[in-house]
Amino acid sequence: MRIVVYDQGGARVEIGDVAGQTLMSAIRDKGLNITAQCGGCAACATCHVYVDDEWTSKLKPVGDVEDAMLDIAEERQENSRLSCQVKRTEDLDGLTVRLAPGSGF
Amino acid sequence: MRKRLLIVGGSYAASELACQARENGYAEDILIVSEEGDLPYHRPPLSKSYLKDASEELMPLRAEAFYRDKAIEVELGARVVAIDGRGNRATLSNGVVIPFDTLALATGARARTLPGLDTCPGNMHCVRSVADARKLRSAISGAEKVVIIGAGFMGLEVASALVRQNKHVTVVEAADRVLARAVSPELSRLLSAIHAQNSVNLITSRKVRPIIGHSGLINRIELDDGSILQADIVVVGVGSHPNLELAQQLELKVGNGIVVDDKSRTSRSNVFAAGDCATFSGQFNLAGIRLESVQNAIDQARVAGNAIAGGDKVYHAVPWFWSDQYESKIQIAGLSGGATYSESRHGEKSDVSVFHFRDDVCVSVESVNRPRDHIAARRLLAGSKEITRRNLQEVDFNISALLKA
Repeated sequence: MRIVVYDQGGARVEIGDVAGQTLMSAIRDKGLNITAQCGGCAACATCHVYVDDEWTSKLKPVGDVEDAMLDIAEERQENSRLSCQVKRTEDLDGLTVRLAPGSGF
Repeated sequence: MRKRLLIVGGSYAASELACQARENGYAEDILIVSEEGDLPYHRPPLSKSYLKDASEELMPLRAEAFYRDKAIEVELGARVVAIDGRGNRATLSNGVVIPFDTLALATGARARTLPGLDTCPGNMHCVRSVADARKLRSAISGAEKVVIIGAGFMGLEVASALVRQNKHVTVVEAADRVLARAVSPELSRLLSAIHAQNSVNLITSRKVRPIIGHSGLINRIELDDGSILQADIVVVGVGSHPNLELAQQLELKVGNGIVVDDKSRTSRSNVFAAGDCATFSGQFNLAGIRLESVQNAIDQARVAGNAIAGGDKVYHAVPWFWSDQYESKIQIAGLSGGATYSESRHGEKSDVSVFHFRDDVCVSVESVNRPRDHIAARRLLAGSKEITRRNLQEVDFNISALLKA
């Protein structure tokens, strides 16, 4: 499945060839600049992304822990997610996200 | 000739320092020299999910492509054995000499061993590197009785991972409570209860003497009250020593770690240090405790990388830690050492937060399954306004409410 990521500088990167099981690990394994300090256990907010509007409703809703962590992210928006909490599944082919500015806390 | 930043070490601090130097505009060569065989990777899972699931893979901090794109060279499986501070040259164990202009020590710490053992028996384990974790993971299936020496984070996480795999797990701790150096007595009591509920045999205030059998393995552990514990495998988590050998060669100022300032500078102008090997005393850590945490390694490395690139960021970070044991997510903001008063708030689902005060000012909040309290605490402790006992009483210790005030 394919993911489209816009990095912090706005460059468009297509990810289709890495194995990562979460959105965060796919972005990281592609070599993009994502800190993901806690390694994917929703204990920080350094994998913060903005999900393009057409995709927000297709993702599983924000969990309680994720919601709390997003509160420390810089510039949280309606479409903010922690990419470590988004599982890569077939129905998300074409998912488009933007790496959020800053690296959280 | 181009200049070079040489980074010795291969974990969070080394990786982050290189990234931050580059991100902040350092345009010279960057070389990381790491003893390990893998690119810098996430360590917390090694004592948690990595032990529970044999298919769990090592998680890199950054992909190889990232280092390549940023022109950060990483030399794996290489050890720096000597540094000449006058000539600014490092020598590797294979004899190769690497000149540098700026040096960063991110040499980490190594596991303490048990006193009186001059060999390392094959069934004795620690969990610091992925090599350690691989060795332990491959030994789990053949073991029935596990003795864990030391009730620190590592010991308790390993206990929770192994008891869920139907191992008979005993944890022996020399202090009178678990996590005595890391958490408050209140949290120690809570965690002891959780481990007891999960059938871990927890023994405190006991010293151990491992008994080596004919096979060269530890086959039992004798306690100082004369009792004997049978063991198929023994996991030792009794703290660490900072790796200071290179710092000593350079005659850097060292205490229980390489002494650094708020820009991660050592006593030598072109040498920086960050992570488990470094010690810094500041507003949130008056005692200058050597913090061994992901947060500290990354935040110290960030200011070091920034300084190397000519920036002026200073270290001013609230210490925070986390641990996962069973269904409990333990999160700690600030350091509770020296607290004079504590108050707890329990929720309905065995969730709890413990608030610690020094002279009526909140200095730390320890939470179990209360991420909102933890986040609020981190934000408030980092702020310029003190949080007093009265502030918290006024909102009935619903600390999130203070964020809106």
